Amino acid sequence: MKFHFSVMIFCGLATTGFADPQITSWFTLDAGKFAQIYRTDAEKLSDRPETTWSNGRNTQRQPAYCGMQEILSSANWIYVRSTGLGSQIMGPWQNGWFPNLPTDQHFIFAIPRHPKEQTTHGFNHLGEIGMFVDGVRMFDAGDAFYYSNQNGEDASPRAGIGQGDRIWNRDALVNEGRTFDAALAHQQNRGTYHYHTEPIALRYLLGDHVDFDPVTKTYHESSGAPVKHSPILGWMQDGYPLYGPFGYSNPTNPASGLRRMVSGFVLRDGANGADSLAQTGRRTLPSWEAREQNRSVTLNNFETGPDVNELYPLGHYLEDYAYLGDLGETLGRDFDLDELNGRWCVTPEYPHGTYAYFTTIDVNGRPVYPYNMGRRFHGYPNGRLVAGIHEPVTINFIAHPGAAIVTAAMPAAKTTTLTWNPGTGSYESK
Amino acid sequence: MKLLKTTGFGLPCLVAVGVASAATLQIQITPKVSGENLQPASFRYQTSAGETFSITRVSYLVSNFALQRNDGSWLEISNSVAWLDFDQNRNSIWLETIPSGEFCSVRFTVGLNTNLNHADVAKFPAGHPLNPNLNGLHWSWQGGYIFLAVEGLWRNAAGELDGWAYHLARDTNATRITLAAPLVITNETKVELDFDLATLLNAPRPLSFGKDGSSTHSRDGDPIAAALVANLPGAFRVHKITALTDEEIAVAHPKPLYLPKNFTPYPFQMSATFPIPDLPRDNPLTVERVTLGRTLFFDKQLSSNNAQSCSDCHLPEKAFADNRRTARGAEGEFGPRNTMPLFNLAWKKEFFWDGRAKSLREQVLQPIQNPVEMHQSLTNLCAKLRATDKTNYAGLFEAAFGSPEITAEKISLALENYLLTLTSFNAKFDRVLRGEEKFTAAEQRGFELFSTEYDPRRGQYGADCFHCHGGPLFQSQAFANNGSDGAFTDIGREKVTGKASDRGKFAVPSLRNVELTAPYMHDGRFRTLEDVIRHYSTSVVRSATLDPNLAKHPDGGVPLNEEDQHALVAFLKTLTDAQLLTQAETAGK
Repeated sequence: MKFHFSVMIFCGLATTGFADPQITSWFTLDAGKFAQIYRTDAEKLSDRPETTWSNGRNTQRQPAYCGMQEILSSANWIYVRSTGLGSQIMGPWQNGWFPNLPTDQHFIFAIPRHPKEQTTHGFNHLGEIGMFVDGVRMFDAGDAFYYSNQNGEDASPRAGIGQGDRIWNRDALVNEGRTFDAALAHQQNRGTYHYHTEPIALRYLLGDHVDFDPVTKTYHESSGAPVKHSPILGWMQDGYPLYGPFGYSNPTNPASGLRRMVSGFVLRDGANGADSLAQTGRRTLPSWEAREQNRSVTLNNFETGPDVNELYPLGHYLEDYAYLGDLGETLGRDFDLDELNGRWCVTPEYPHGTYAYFTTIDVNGRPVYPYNMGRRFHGYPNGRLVAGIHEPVTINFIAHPGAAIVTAAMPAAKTTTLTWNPGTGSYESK
Repeated sequence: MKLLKTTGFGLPCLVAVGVASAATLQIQITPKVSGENLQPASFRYQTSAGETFSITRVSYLVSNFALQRNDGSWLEISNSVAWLDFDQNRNSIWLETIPSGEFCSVRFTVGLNTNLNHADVAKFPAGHPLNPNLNGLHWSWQGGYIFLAVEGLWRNAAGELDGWAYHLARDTNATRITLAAPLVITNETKVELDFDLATLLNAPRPLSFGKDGSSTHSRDGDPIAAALVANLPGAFRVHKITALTDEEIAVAHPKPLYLPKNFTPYPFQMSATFPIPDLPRDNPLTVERVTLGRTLFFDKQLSSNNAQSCSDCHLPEKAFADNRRTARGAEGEFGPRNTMPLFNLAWKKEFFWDGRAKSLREQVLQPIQNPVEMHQSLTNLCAKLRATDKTNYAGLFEAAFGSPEITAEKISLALENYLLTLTSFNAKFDRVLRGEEKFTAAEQRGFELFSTEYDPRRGQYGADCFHCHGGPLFQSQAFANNGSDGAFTDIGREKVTGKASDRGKFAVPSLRNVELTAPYMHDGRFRTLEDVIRHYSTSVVRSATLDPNLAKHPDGGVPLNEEDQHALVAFLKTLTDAQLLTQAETAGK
């Protein structure tokens, strides 16, 4: 029994019946902690984080709490309210030169409770694709800029040529990775802190085979083999879970051992049966992307991409990758994950099986394409940010106001009465 | 030598049951620094980073003792838990009925297992090592105990005095210690262990107050807590193993004083959430004694000029304090200190602002005799009570003590009885915790600030109030220098203990009913609660004895904006208990 009068950090979730991973997987331990950033390397090295900040463009005038603030549920939806700010001390981004700072987004994200496989394979508009369990947003592998054939260069905020042709999509890690902080996250111009790749800081918080060096304040993959299945890192807009990199060797056998999930994508560098863009130039789309864009692999002259060179190295665009399933190799035997970066499998949370995405890292522990998800959702991506909630809901977790402090249950009796017992010479309670 | 109790069924055919021999094993743990005895509060120690520091507190819980037999198996000693405290000279645990035999190792845990750490603390009897009122280690706002509290002062890079407070807590930080100790137990045996604090702060993971931080509250991922856990196993060493002398225990319970033939035990009421207090067994609470005590408390004859009763300074409607800056005596003179409120005294061990009285019965006679208070000799008082015909004191004394004789000792026992019955536990705060009422947004924010530490390094920006005013009683038994002054006209606790390390320390008061007891501090210097909060936010003065929990804050105190200061005041006002007044007037009726 807990000390009734005391209050405690609310870390458990009240659920009825069996535990629903869509409710129980969220990281709420830091719900009452103020979010913090280092703006510069100097602040980081001397360990002087800030809780309020402004750079003119993005302002956090009052301290805001870390991430998850509420979990609510109805029959068909899970609603999570989050500040969108990470639990770890965020930043710095390019030692303060990156123009954006994160701010409290106070959004409500709705996730479908009953995910369903899409029957038609339409191209889904990407960008924000899900939510990590610490309440930080997940963006897709691209950076929302594309090659502009007409201008002969990538669209960029500076080039002033819109966003480009939407045919050759830039890889966010390759093109913007230098603006990521140690957690591998950054924020867009409106202050939404987000990951494009594996969320290494979150994996550390969840104990998913990541170490943190408190001196350099950097994260790295733990040495040694993983000893447990990766936890759920987040939820995609289609309602299916995203796991860390380690799953069961045999998708349907939890006793089959663990291994790092191998993605189905390889660079189009002439190896693995793929063509060589360095030799052909960027004149064809890979088959998987042609399917997604519903067009032929052959491109018109006005649709081709730049030649592979120092400015546009292989891997610069998502279309620089080929899918092994198109090259004669077999899913489940030669590689683990389908072209959406997931598979049907059993997991600790879903002993009877689920479709699950896995974040992908390479043999050295570095993020590798397609990172969290391919170019399409497995299910109908009905999840979205909502302005309000217009149906009755159950409160599964609530933090602020009241922050981390939730009172424990009180005893049935309000008072204790002590009375001296002449027989024993001591005071006894009734 | 102790014998195991054995039970037989008395059947004649049974062979006599073999009686196993057993002994008591005393394990004594002495705090050391680099092998030398700890010198408390002296600036003689250095961290590996060259920072000079002192140690003022070493208080910790040990549990789960086990002895390893020579065959490698372990003898677990159930219910073995102890609270050890340097200041209180608590350094030993006695493990009873250890079977005779040879053992090769001793094992124990610094801290508690999950079950004990989250047990219902209101159920531990008064003397139990886990009674929070005894050990002062229950971390009520986060659940569970502080396993190890080490505190002191240090000089920072600028040469200024700063505080450090390392509080190791949380289930996952309970640390197992295993020591090789060849033991042949045939008789009472004593194992002396050293607990070397130099190792704790240094090896294998050196800690620096400047680099690593001067406080830890053992939140997840806290590197200081991790270092302490890594250093603990090496910090314990076997010093000596000896056979035990006869300094044995068995404190007989004292007999009740002057117990009449007929009496009615008084039902002492408290919150079901409070720890069980150590009520006096030699002065049992009875309705008759409480009635006499209440009558005396409100009787002006207690003062020489019949101008003042206890209740003239200890006004029931003011939580038994008054609103004067310092106390005004029967003859109009003012004393040096602010009148203290009277409630929940059953949980205190020392009385007056400087703790000069060790019991209430010792305390109550002092204001009667004090020349600037009631200014009356005890002989005179007894004579007056005998002669008065307003009240039948002879009858009241007869009922309370079994004889009509009036003595100063009995007066003190009756007043002690009455004062112990004044309990306060029905404020809005209590009702909110019971779910009967709701905090306003400001009160909730105030509560949050009150019970959260100030620790920017770990992202915590609370007001850190709970360290001293923690727990359901909102008080601690400690004396502390709260940074009111740098130079002291009133040296407080030092006058009682003679220790320079107690200079400027005063009792830490309960914050229950604090709304009613303005002005504040031992000398009534602050008129309002807002002034008090401002003091802790901007005006804390550093001196050699400043409490480490305050000294670790930035200069001036915990930064709090105006809104948060108001929120704290709003929260403090939820601690006001209207029921105390009724209770005070009806006790014993």
